[in-house]
Amino acid sequence: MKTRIELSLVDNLTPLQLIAFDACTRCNECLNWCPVLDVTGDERLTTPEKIRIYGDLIRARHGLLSTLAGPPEVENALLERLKEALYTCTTCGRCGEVCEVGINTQQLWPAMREKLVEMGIGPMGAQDQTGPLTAEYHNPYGRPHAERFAWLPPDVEVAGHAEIGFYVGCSGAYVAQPMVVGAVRAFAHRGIPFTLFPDEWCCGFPLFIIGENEQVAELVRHNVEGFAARGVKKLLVSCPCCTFMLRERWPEFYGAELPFEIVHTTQFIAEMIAAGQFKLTKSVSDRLTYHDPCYLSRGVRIIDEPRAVIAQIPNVDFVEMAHCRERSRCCGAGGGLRRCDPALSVEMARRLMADAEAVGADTLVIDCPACFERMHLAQGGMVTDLKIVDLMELVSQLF
Amino acid sequence: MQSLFQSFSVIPSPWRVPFYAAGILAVLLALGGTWARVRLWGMGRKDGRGPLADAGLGHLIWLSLTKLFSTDCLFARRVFVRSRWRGWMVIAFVWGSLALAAAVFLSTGFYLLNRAMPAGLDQWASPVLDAAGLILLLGLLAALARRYLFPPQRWISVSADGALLILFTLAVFSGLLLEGLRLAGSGWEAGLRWPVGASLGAALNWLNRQPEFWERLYLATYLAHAGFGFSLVAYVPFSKLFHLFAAQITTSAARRASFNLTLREPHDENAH
Repeated sequence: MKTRIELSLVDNLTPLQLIAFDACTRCNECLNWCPVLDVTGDERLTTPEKIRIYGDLIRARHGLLSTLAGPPEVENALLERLKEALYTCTTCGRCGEVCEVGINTQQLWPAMREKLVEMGIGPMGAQDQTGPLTAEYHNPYGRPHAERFAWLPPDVEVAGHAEIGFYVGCSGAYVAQPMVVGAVRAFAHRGIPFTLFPDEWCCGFPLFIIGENEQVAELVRHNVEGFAARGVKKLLVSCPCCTFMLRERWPEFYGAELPFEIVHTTQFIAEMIAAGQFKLTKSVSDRLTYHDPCYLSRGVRIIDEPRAVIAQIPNVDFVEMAHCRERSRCCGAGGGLRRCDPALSVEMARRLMADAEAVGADTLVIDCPACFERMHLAQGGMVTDLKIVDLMELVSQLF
Repeated sequence: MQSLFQSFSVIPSPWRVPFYAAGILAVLLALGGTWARVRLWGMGRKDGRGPLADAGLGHLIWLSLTKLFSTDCLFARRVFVRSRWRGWMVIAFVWGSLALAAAVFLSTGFYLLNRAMPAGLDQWASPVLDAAGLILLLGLLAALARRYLFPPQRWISVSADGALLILFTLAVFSGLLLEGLRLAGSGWEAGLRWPVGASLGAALNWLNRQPEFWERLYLATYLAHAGFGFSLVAYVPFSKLFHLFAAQITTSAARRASFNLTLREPHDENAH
C-alpha cells in the first residue's frame, strides 16, 4: 500500500531546520546518548533514521521530479516506520546537544510530527486522547477543571491583581502538587504578592509536542488574556515544559510579543538568593543529587540556578550524577511517550534513578512535575531507598 | 614532471571527446543536483522566529561557503569534544580535501589561462598537495576501518554511505598511485618536492617492469582516477556527502556563548 503525499512538508520548517536534513553526517554519535535506545536497543528509532527518512521524503515531495510528475507515492510501511521512530522519542534533545554538526533536534521533532498529524498518520497510541481531553477539560489528564486549584493551601494568600503571576500548569495542578505547593509557600514566605488565573487552561505543550496544533492558539490566547487582565508583568512558571512553551512558542501562537516576562520559579528564587533576599536556614542530612529536566536544561538553559538554590542549604552534601547539566538523562516522561509507551517511559525513569543511586545519593532532587510523576511511578516497581523530592518542595521545608 | 596541460595529452586522441564529455556531464550533474538540493533550503517558513529565520537563499549559500572556514569546521571542535580519534579523522578530511580542491582550482585556472604555474608557487605547493593526498587517504582509510572493521557498538547506516566512502577512497588512492607512476624513476630530487609520490614511485620501481607496462598502467590508472573522480563529483549532491555544504551552517548556528565544550565520557557502560 502506498500513500500519495500532496501536502507541503517544508512550510512549517525554518531554513535552518531544512538545512539540518542535509547536514546530518550520520556519525552516529547521538546513538551513544539516546535514552530510548538505552532501553529498546533498536537503532531504527534513532535520530539519524528520522532525519534520513524525512529528508528523503522532502526531496521526493519538493524535488524536480515531483514538479514534473506530480506528488510522490510513498510506501505506507516507510511512513509507519517514520511514525514509530518519531513518536518513540521523548524529544529530550540530548541527541541535538551532542550532535557534531549542531542540529537542534528538540525543536525539529515537533515540526515533523505536525506533518504526520496533517497526513493522518500521527500521533501514536493513546496520544490521540490528548486533544479531546484538553478540549473538554482544559487539561490533558482529563481531570475536572474545577479541581485545578484544589492543592492551594488555604493559608496562602493569593492577590486578585498583582505584577507577579504564577502559571501552575496541568502537571503541577493534578499530578505533582508538592511542587506547586512548595512554590507558593516560598512566595508567601517572602511576602511576595502574586496572582493566579482561576480559569487557567493547559499551556498547549502536550498538544504541540505530539504535533496537534489545532487548539493551541485558543489555549494560548485564553491564558495570555487571563493573566494580562490581572495586571501580570512577570509570569512565574514551575514546569519546564510549560516554561519552554511560554517562552519559545506562545508568542508565535499568540501572534505578538507577550505582555509579560516568563520566568521559571527556580530562576526567580535563585535571583532572590543572589540578591540576599531569600535564605534557607535548615539543613538536610541526606546526600543530594539533582536531575536536570530536559526542557529546563536543553530547552531554556536553566542549569546553574537550581544548583545555586541547592548550594544555599547549610552544610549540604551534594553530588552530581555522571549524566548531568546539558547532557542529563531523560526520565521518560516527555514528548508524549508516557501515553504511547508507558512501560518504556517507566523503564527510562528507572535508569535515571539507578544513575542517582550509583553516585550514592539518598535523595534525587528534581525540578519538573512530569519527572516527579514518572519517577514516583517507577519507584513503585523498584527496590530502592532513593527519595524523590521536588526542588520547590524541598525549599519550602528549609526556611 | 608533467604539467596539467601535458597530463591531458596522456589520453589518446580518439578518447578525448568522450573524456571531456564525461567530465562536463559530471560537473553538470553536480551543479544541477546541488541546485536542486539547495533550493529546498529557501522553501521554509519565514516568520522571523529562530536563527536564520529570515535568511534568503543567497545568504544561506554565502554562509555555506564562508562558514566552511570557521574554526568549528577547520578544527572540528564539536567532533573533538566527543572523540579525539574521530576529530583527527575529520581534520584529515577537511584539510586534505581543501588543499586538493585549492590545487585543482589553481591549476585549472592556470590551464584555462594557458599559462604555466609560476615556479615559486609550484615549488611551494607541490609537497603540500602531495602530503594532503596522503592525509586525506589516511582519513578515508580510518573511516573505512571504523565502518567495516571496528564499527561502534551502536550503529545505523545505509549501504549507499559505504559505497560513497569506497568511491571516495578509490578516487584518492588512484590519484596517489598516478603520482607514484609519474614519478617512478625520477631520482631522489623528486622526493624533496613530492615525498609521498616519489616514495610510491620508488616502491613501484622495485617491480622492474618494461617501459610499455608502465605506460599502459599509467593510462589505465589515469582513466580510473578520472572515472572515480567524475563519479564522485556527480554523486555528491545525491549522497550524504552533501553535508559538506550544509553542516557548517548548522554548526555555526549552534555555537552559543553558553555552549559548554567539555570532554566527557560519552557512553554509559550500563546501557543495553
